[in-house]
Amino acid sequence: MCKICVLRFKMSFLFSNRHNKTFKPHKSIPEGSHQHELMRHAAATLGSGNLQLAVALPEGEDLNEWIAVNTVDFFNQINMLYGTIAEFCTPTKCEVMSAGPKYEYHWADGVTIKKPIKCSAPRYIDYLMSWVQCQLDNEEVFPSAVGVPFSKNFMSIAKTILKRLFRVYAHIYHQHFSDVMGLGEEAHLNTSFKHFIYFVQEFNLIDRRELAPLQELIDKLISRDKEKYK
Amino acid sequence: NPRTRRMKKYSPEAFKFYMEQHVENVIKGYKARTSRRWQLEQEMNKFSLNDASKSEMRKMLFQKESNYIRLKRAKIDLSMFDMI
Ligand SMILES: [Zn+2]
Repeated sequence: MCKICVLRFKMSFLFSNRHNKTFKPHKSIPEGSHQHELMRHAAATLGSGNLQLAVALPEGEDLNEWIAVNTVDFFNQINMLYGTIAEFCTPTKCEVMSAGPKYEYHWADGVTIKKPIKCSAPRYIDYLMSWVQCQLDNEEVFPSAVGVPFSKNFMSIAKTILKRLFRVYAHIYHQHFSDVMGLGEEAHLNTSFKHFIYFVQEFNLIDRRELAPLQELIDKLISRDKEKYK
Repeated sequence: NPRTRRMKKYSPEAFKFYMEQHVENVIKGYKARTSRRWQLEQEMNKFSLNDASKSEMRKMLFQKESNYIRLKRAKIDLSMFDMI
């Protein structure tokens, strides 16, 4: 074998033993089970390790690819998170999609709904998450086969997706934080949101004025990390 | 009206477990990727490759890394995992 072939062969081993780790079923973890105990333990380590380092574009990586894989991750997190508090977010309790008294969102997707409509938060979030899901499932926007290039407008669609996902965090923080506390998942929400913010800030993906409803929290989360990792 | 899907409910335990695993995997993934990059340099030095071959090998690694994160995004049919 020539040198290159030997190295190529070795390179394939750098990747082995990983493929079985990419997916772990987590659908049903019965209360009181061994796994549940493990979960409780793991809670203490949540947030250990500097997520800010991990958001940077790895050397040699395509920016679109990196934004795509992270966007899918954030969507999954927000989808699950909202799923845990959905029962508290009802059309009567959350008549409008708001993030505190100062911010109210009206839904329009620019295609089927052009004129923004005022609707309840659960309805808005349903529209929003369905719209995002639709983008993620669209092979022309998020190609999933190796070798298929991204479309030219990928970045602008990704920015819209992230801007809209931010609003779900904003609604949850402003209107449902006590529900989140009741479920004991505030550390998890904070970690998810902090990672999201590091990511969008690293690549300038959301306008600063869009972040205003949670600016104070953002400053707090980030300054705490600066203390920790200085 | 656009297509909507009623938001699925999730148990807080599932979400918490998912997040705990996820954060760990993000950090682990970052370290593993950095270490693969470093390992390649070590190996290339051992074999004393010339610069052109080195840059060729780096490109190859970058491509593999990129394909790997694309496959992570590939739609997984959840029902496939119920048997495990
Ligand atoms: Zn609500």
